[in-house]
Amino acid sequence: MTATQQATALFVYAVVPADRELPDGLTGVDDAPVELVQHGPVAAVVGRMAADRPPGRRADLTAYSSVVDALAPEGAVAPMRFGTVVADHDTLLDELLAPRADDLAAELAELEGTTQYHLRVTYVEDAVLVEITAADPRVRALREATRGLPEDARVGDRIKLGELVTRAWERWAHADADRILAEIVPMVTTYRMRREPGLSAVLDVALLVDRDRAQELEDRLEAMAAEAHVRMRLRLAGPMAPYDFVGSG
Amino acid sequence: MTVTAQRSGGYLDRPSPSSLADVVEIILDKGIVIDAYVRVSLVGIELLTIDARIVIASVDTYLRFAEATNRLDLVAQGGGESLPDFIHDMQEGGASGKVGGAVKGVKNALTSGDDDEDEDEDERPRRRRSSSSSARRRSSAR
Repeated sequence: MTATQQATALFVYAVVPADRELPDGLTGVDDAPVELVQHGPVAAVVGRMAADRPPGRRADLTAYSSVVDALAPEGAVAPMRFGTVVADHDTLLDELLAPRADDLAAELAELEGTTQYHLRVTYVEDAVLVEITAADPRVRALREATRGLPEDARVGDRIKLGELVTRAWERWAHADADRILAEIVPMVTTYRMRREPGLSAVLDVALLVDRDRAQELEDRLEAMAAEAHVRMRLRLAGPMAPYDFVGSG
Repeated sequence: MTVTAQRSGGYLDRPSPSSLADVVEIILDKGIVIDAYVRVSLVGIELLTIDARIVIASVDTYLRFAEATNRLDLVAQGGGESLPDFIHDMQEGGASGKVGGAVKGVKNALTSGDDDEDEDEDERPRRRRSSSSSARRRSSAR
């Protein structure tokens, strides 16, 4: 092992309970085999990678997510931030495992039996613009005043129109986000907003869900998506490792 | 790596968990951090996450929404009867705006072609601001 240490470092994928076994033949960054480094109640999932470059290629990112994805269905897993690289086993023990083993074990215990989803809801732009126009006489008036004119005509009115529409959009996004959350929060263990409701998304939220309730959540969201499809799109990624619910950050 | 898989037949969009665009969007800045040991150098990736996340509330944005509103053909003013057409437009890419476009661009940049990480087609015309790019860099280096 010492022979290869000059040229390689350890890419750290995740932390798992010490009694976890890895899937056979699991490889990661640089196609290197993935192995466990145990310490007390936890084990780091690591693999060797070339030390002369930082990770960041798209192949590295997909390798990282593949490894973490492979671990997630087997039980609790606490993903490390992508790009966590340490020089060697000693550094891994000194900097991560020894000082934080108990905290990590507690975190893993809390995550046991859960899985993460990521829900992103967006408006169907034109449908919502129609609604906004219908709801606000000022929008209609400004629209009539500027429509069909050259782009540089009545710029002030155009800006006013756009501002009214933008503000309305944001208000509606907040209201719709609240409605959706009210329906799904009872089904989740906890959730984290990844972004405030606004122009780019009505709702962008990570959900931590008990595995036993995952199907219920999926079914509910499917029904909500069908119901709302004229004006909203619901996109549900997962189940995945609890990326948003580790390391308090 | 699977690119995109529709796993359910309904209205709920279910991207494949390993779709790279989703990986970038969802997990890039997550997970446990040991200070000083995150050493990412995002080659051709960092540009990608960014503009999907921001729409700047600015005159530009206002004008874009004004234009989008004016473009609507309100066949049934005040009603929603013509919605299917609008939805169709939307699905065609329409004016769904920076977000959809940027994400699509991300997906294309990352998933098209070979594994050469240095090639990218990231000079997207709508990329306006790099402030969150540096924020991203800071947070990755945390």
